[in-house]
Amino acid sequence: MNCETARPLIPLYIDGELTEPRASGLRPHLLECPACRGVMQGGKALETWFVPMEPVSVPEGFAARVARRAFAGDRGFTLQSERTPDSSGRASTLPAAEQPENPILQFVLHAVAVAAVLLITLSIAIRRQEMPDSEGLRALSESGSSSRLALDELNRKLELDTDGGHLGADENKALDD
Amino acid sequence: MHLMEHAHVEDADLVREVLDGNQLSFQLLVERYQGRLFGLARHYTRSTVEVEDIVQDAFLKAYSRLDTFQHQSSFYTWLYRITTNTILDFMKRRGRNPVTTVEDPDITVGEAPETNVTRPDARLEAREISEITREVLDEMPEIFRTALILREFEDLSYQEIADQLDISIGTVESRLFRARARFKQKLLHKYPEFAQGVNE
Repeated sequence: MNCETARPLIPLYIDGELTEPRASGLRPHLLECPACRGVMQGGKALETWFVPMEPVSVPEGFAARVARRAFAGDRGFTLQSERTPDSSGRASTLPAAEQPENPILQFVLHAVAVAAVLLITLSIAIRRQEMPDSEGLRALSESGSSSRLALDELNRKLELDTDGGHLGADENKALDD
Repeated sequence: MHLMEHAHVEDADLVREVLDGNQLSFQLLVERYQGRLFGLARHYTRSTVEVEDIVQDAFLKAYSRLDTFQHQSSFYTWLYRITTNTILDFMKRRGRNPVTTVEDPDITVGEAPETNVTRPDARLEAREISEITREVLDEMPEIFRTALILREFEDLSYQEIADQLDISIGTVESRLFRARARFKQKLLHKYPEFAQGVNE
């Protein structure tokens, strides 16, 4: 056996997972190869860091409490967050606790959703009707500029009229005289 | 029937009694295995309340699924698997690394760090060694931590680990290899004084 073959077997050997024929094939190599022996010693040293922990004290009355809860229908907290397969075998992503089971509630929720969609569609349609199209915008723009021209014309005329309408100071004086 | 009379009843018989509606039989099953499950769960959290919650949840799940127990494995193996899944689910909800990650980008097979770790100093008490080990494990990806816990603390064989995690033996081997390499790496990073050359 060479190092390349031996190395992957060393952790299994330490864990007692090698069959005896394979283990007996590895042992001679470990005896003659210091590098592989070092790897095995390192593996054994690592194991010593996993010291058994002290026994845990279970709270008084734990078993009776759990049995009582189980028979009262408590299914545990994580069950509710797990994916619950539907009749077709597909898993639903909605937690079971959040899925509405009341058919009336389901109907109301569906009706509200449909009404919301209708309202949005209707409001979009109304807004589109109220907004002018491109031709309308051009017409508005043209009528706007002609109106402006007409207004300017009118203002000019008004100024002329005003100048003509108002008498000069000398003329007023002459008239007074 | 009184609890004492149940003391020598087989698990399979107790399971049947529970399915017939006997609450005391379920209580006895809980009493039989609660200590071992508390021992498993405390590797994952320091909170005694959380440990109790996890184990309680595992038993409640087991009860709700008891009618699916096929008696193909022992009741304890079945219960242990439910507990392992409950713990992993719990850790996932706490934002721990996903349990489905198979590859560890940092370490590839055949490339274990060249340095070994020494055995814990003789002056260190078991409690101190446990604390250091726990600190290192807490920083490891969930799949590696679980592999090490099941192997080193729970003393499960490769086949038992494979059954618990629903993976192949080959995956157990590679996962343990990577887990140990990662553990060694982190231990030496945090406590370089425990480093030792391979051939020393």
